Amino acid sequence: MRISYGILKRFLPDLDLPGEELATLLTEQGLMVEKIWKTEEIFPFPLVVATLDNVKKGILYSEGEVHFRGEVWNIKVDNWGMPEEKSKIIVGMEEGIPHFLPWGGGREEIIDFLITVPFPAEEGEEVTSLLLGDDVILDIEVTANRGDCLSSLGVAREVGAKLDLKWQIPPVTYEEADTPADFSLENQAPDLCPYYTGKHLRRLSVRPSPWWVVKELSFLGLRPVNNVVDFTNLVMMEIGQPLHAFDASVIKGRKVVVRRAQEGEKLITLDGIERELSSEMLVIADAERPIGIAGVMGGKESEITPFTSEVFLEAAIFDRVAVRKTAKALGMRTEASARFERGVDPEKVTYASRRVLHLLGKDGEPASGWLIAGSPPEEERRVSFSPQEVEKTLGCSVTREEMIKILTGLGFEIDSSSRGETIQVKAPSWRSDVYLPVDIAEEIGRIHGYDKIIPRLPQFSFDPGNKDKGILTEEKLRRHLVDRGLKEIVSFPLISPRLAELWGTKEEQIEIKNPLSQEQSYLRPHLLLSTLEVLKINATRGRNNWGLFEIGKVFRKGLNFPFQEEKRLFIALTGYLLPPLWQKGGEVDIFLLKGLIEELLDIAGFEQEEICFREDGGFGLEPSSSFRVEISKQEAGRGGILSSSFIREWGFGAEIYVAELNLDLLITEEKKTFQLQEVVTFPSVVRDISLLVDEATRWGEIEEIVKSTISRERMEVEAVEIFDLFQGGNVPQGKKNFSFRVTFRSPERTLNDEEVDKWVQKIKADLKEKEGLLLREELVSF
Amino acid sequence: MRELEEYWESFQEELREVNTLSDWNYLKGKYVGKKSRWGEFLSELKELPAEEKRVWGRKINQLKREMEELLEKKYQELLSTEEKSEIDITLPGKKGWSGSFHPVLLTRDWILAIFESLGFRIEEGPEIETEFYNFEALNIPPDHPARDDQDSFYLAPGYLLRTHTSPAQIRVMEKMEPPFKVVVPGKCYRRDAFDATHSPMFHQIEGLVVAEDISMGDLKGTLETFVRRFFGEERKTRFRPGYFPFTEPSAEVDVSCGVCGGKGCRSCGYSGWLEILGCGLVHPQVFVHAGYDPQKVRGFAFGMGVERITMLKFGIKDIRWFLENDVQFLEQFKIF
Repeated sequence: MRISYGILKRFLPDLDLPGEELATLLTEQGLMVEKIWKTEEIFPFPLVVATLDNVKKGILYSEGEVHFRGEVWNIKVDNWGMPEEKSKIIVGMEEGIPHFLPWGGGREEIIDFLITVPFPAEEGEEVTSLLLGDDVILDIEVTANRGDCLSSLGVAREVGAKLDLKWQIPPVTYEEADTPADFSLENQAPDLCPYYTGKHLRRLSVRPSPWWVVKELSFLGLRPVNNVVDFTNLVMMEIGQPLHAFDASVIKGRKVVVRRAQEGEKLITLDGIERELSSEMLVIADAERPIGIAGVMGGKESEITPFTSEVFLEAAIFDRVAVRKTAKALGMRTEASARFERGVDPEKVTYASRRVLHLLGKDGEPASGWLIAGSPPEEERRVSFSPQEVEKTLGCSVTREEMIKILTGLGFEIDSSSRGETIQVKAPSWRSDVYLPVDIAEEIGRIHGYDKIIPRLPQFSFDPGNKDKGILTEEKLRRHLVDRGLKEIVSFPLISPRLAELWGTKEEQIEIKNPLSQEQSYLRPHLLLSTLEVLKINATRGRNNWGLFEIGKVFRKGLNFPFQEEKRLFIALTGYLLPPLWQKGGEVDIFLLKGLIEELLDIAGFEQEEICFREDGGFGLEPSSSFRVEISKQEAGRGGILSSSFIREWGFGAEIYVAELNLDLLITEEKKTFQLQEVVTFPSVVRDISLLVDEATRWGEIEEIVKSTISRERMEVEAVEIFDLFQGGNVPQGKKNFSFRVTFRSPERTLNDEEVDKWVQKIKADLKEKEGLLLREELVSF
Repeated sequence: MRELEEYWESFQEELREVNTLSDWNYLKGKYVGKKSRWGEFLSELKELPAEEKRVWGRKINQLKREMEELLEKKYQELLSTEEKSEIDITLPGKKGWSGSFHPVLLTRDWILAIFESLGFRIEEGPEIETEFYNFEALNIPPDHPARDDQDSFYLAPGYLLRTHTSPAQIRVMEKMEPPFKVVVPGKCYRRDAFDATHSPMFHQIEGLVVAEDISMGDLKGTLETFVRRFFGEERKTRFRPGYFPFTEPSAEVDVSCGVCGGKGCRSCGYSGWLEILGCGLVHPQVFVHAGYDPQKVRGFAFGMGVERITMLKFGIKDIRWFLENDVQFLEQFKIF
């Protein structure tokens, strides 16, 4: 919200602080100044004096000539807004182009009104500084709890409290006619409108506002319309009380009714849009139909126009929540609704109306008396607080006298009977946000200054304990993947319905009821779906060799709790591990992926015996080249080559290997306790065995035979490793060759060749029993 | 000075033995380098009578020069006889992939590490929350204006994606016994369209400290320590009043701009300050919702946006780069 230094001084005459310092003061007090405007930024063109000549009144508009330093422009102006011939008018001059509405813009065919120079001046003179003065405009961010500061008065009170200056409210005078209003008022919804006041004005002269009003409204970012509308707006910006002026002549039955809208009732609002209302909305109506949406916006039909001759001026208090809901439902936030939903000062309601009457002066004739329904809500908020507690809360010392001074300055009334331990105060009518002792502490802290709080570290003992096992495992796995050269990614978890459907039925999945767009309307049920976008960006940009991983949650509908989230680990690999010249053997393949998973499970603390890889398809995987990982027979994840349909659809140029693991499962599994193995220093004996087997024979089967022999015979074996696998060449059709190495080593002694040979014979003997298996010549190496 | 002769002779002898460049290097070091004895001879020279001084001085210079010449000659010889290298070491090394943590998570981990070293415990919370935890328990009733800033994604009546990590405050209080200090990192979601500084999904870190006696001073001290450690000693911190429904008093913390040093520039919007987090003392009503007696405990809480801090730390201009995950962008963080 904008504040003008000039207007501020109307409420704080003794204010004498450079604009920059005022901005710092407000920021440090909780009213963050986001921008300081100079007046030239708001009126971007030099303002010059021009003469109006040859005015010809028409039926719809007037024509005239504007003379300036020998130049003449022909203009059309609405009749009501055309000053007398020979008037000196203000023109904004943009490098030879005149702006007749001098704040810029506005080159309409027919101009609403011209503004006359408020002091004697010669044609051709530049009067920018004379017109604008040396004002400074501050753009302030007002927090949701401080509706009272959405006004110059509110900001003046804040500044006054800090600088120990007295603030004042401009006095108002106006004369009422003898005749009372010929209106009646009925409030059918006192719950949503506790207090409603109306003033009837006759003999209205609607005209362009004088320069000072045009200037101030422009400073504050509001567009001048005409004197009646402008005064209500200006007073709202000054005092914080929104006002509304209805053209009284269109109010049917001479009756104003405050009521809930009927479902489906329609109203065209001031902005020209037809609104459909619901029964939760409060409207101002006449005997027949709504004429305004309470606290939000008036109706188009009752708008003040140059032809309006009588006005019904409304000042009221509307329920915060109701205004908020209405404004939100209709998608219209207005200056008025912003103030009502944050709460207005119940004690300034009629003052605001009276100030408008004061400003209108002879331009309107107030009927005698007021139309009033209800009364200002009297919510007396008394708070007792202990100065000692305030000091303990703030962490700095503030004297009792200073506390009282600060609170008094902010408008709190100190209960004179307060003695000793506690002080009792009455919060001012405009501070509905203050009702607890901590609120008082904040007030004192704000004005005393947060910079005076003495920093210290908390003084108590707390043992944070060991890091959560899940967090620890996650850290270890992430570190390992990064060490292995993978890059961590964070993909966007919201996906399109089309992607969601690829995974499964919509019923199993979680849809966002109010998405920003269809493309982001489902929560990912699988990490692959959200990472596709990442893979695509990299593929499109020609990044061909990489490993990526993400740890994130997937979401699904659940049985007990309606929504389930599960932590997953996603891995994607593609291209080469080494630079192009060294590509040989450096390609990513499925066994690199498998190895990575084995490493991760190893680190997570699982024994090799617990882990099992099985050929199996899976979501998004090529059925012929994919696998399932099991830990103790329980599925822990799946991986393989990204299915060709995905590759095609997403335009990937190369094979991508992907895997997804259930991280929760890796963490919750009970781990065996660590047992140190003694380092074996006796020499090892190595034997290589080569086999010719049927093509269909799998390494796992051979390994199982060998391992069972080893354990049955209690052999001292350190490792069984396959080191060669080939087909073709001199290997007969339908067969393949496995070569593996057995490393024998005893922790207690040096093994001799004879016993090792005996063991090897036993292994071979067992292998021979397997059908279709042929032992090849034995290679021995050390 | 007699040793000078010996020195010269042993040099010649050793020079004959030199066959490789490394031998040569060793010899060069021994006879003309730092380990040589020329300095020694020169200082001996000072003690000689004037006449001898001149003779020996000339001799020393001559021998030294000769030695250098012989060495150079030998070097040329060696170069021509030394076998040609079998490798072309200008070919690229076999550099494997370099891994990197995601910058946002890297920053998150740094921040968490600082708080861990201050004795905080790390906790986690769900991303799908109920309205009670996300709003009501935090003193944000329905139709409270504060909900404007936190437009939420709803999954069903009463269920939404958490808009901040603050619901974890309630969950932590339900689970733990005071006194305690915890930090809770996590993803949050708000109905903000993507632009350079907004993303519908972002990360936050929540902090909560509850004990018998906690003041704004503890909050200020803790967060000033954090800012100093994270941004550097030279950066200043500013506390100014703010507003959050779940803290009272509330504060916003700004850190002096690292680009202009606080003088005001484009990156800080000419204010000299950058807003980094919101905080305050736990509102008594929040304690009540969590089942605590506000008469018996006090606490402070804070929340910070990790993306924003990451952007400030690394000078990243667009929040969308974090979700784009171009490997060329990610690659740069391998050094951390």
